[in-house]
Amino acid sequence: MASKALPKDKIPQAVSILKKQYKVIGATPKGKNFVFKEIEDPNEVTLDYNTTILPLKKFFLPPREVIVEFNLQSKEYRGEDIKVEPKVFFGIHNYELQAVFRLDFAFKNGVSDETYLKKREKNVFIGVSYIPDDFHFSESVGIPTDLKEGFDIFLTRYDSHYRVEAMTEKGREIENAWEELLVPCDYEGDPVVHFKNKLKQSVAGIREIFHGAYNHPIWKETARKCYSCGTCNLVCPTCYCFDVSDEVILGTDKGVRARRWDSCQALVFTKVAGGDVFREKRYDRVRHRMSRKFAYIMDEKDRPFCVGCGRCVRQCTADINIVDVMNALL
Amino acid sequence: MEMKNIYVPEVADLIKVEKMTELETFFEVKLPGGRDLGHEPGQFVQVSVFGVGEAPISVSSTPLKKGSFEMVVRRVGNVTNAMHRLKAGDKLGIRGPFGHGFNMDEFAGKDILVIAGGIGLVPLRSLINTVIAESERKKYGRLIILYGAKTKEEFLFRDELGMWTERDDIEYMVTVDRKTPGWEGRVGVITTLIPDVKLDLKNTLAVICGPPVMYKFVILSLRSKGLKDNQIYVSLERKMKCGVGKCGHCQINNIYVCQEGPVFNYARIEDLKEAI
Repeated sequence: MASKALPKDKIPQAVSILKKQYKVIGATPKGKNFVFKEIEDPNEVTLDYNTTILPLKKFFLPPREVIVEFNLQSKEYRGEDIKVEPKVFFGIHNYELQAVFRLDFAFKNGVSDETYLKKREKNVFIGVSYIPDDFHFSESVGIPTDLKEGFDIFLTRYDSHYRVEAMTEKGREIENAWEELLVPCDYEGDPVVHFKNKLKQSVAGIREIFHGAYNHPIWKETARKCYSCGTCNLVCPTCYCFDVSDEVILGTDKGVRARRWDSCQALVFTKVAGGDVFREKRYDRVRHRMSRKFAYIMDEKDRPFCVGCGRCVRQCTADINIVDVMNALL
Repeated sequence: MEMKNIYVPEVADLIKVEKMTELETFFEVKLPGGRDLGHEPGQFVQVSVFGVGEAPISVSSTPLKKGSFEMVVRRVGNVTNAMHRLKAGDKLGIRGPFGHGFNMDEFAGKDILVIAGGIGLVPLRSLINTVIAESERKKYGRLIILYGAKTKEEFLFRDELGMWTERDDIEYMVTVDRKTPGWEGRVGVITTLIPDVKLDLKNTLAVICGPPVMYKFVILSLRSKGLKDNQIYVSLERKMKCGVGKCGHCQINNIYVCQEGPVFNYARIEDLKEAI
């Protein structure tokens, strides 16, 4: 089957074309790692990376963001104006976009959170296939590498080129804009990939296993290694808990109410003003986080809040592997 | 479509501030235009103090009270301490009401056993004042109120406690943990009152609010009297930041207290290990 391909050396030009119409966000190297950032120089973007340090959530739920502004003199509270700029997220792995969809569910379910949802407007996603490293386990949580759900364009990686598949109207517009960069190619079938990091069983039925696992010894065993540092929460693409605090701008009558990423691993996370703490033991908190991922919160399609990106494994300060923890339960 | 920012408080007027005890102060709040809060007994609001922050606070007045609503606040954290520095005429921010309180339809025709420990009386007063209102009293059966405080100095709503003692349609018993000069009544934790209460087991609903340590013992005591789990309602305290089921702090296992609670039928939560 004939299809179109973007030669690898044409990527900077493809990005330049996108930049005419959009803010472009993509992965760039940072030391030995990669980060998502707004692309200034089209040459800095890479489509060949394992995972970024932080997931895309930082663009929709920033580490710190103003949710309300206030004025001490006029005694007013008002919402922050959210500017919506058209953005292209270029070279995104499928588990990354799946995680964004989980966040969408969380911020839409029940009460709609406009501060988050506004930033999800006018987003275009250009996906790219990837080769799982030692940490990825997406396939085990229902996200095989060939899942292309939700992308406007998907780029499948081959030796010298990326096969281009436009999946939406927006995607076809971009494909047209790239017209002169594209070359014909034969569809060679999707590359075969293998995950080294795997759950013993697929995600179906995991929720039920959690119901009987409240007193499983793995919680205490894991807690003995854990420092409650909260790195797993910060790097997790589907962790969205936040703290809220007021800040007065010094020397003015103005101030802001800001929300910040928070960690359910911290002892104070459940501490009420009167002093009571409702998940006092470290193993209570380890269990809570894992339960949220695999049992407590499921999206509208009953999918878990773990996308197998492996960041919490890669970046854990105590070398805890969520897959090993899960496999002890399965 | 224009979405509403759910985090923006409405600015309201503080129309009455009255010190109640060493730690607790009474606040009466008027929303713009004297609009009713529209709460059900047991619900809470998020109260903002300008430049300080926001805290979840129970509503203490009955929805039958029109034009304003009431809260009683213990000073324990930044926001509540700042509230205690406010005076009548000051402005504060209100979001809510949030969550679920007591569905009074379920209480119609029932005997109601209210068990309040310390400031647990604050949200339950919203239910009590709904039941004892002249227009409503006939809808409900007996009203039995058990109230416990550390000492008599910590009693809240003292005028109302006196009225409860006098009214024939209220069975009111009170105890203190520790006797202080002038106290002639009962001494002991709140569970010591329960054996003396005669209940029509088929037709009674119990409601409990108090410090976290209290629930387990009160529930054991009520069960041993023969009440079933689904005849017991509890109002639970948790840390809350957003009030809208997002921020995660109030979660008991898989449920959000700010959404499903703070009032729960005990049968709903008894299997949740983190609840009581």
